[in-house]
Amino acid sequence: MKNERLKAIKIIVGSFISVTMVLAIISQQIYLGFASVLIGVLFWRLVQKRSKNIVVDERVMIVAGKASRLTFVISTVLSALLSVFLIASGSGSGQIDLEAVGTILSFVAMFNLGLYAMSYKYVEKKYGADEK
Amino acid sequence: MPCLINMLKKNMERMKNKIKIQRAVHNLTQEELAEAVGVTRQTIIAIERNKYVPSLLLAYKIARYFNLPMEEIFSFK
Repeated sequence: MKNERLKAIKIIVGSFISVTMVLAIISQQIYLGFASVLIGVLFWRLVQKRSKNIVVDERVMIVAGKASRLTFVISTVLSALLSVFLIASGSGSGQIDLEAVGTILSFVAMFNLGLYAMSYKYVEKKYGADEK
Repeated sequence: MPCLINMLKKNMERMKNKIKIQRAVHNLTQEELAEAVGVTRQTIIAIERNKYVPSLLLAYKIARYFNLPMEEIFSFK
């Protein structure tokens, strides 16, 4: 399958998901949204499998790794800062809702850090950084 | 993090390759070379522009495809 054709299919699948999501939001049908995403992703996976083209190689993996790291850093720092701000402003003004959201966000940030540490250890072990 | 990026950038500046020349000699397109060594065309473009340093395995595959020793294609300056 040619790259141009693959790109066209990608655009069509993306458009299908977007349009169906908009319709799902307008008609307030959550299942329609989920179904459209599921169908779109499955169809795209099928197309990727059937085409002989290489879509993922070492450079793509490196780019994806760097993007993931950047996303992790930004999301964790943002949620941590926002949680501190919300807890401080919530306890200052006596608004329990803000404080609760802040606490949840701080747990999310901690969960992210914990998950990152575990994934890091796992990947490090996989690539032979064993001191024994 | 910025230190690591600078280090990588410095390494990329030092790595040079003759893939474009070899492609011209063998009358190959980027697409054909990419397909032969099992990567995307974008990766070949990035390597040719010295924006991406290939792994040892990919460098070996490229050198073997052109039937040349690795140091003939890749040099560290």
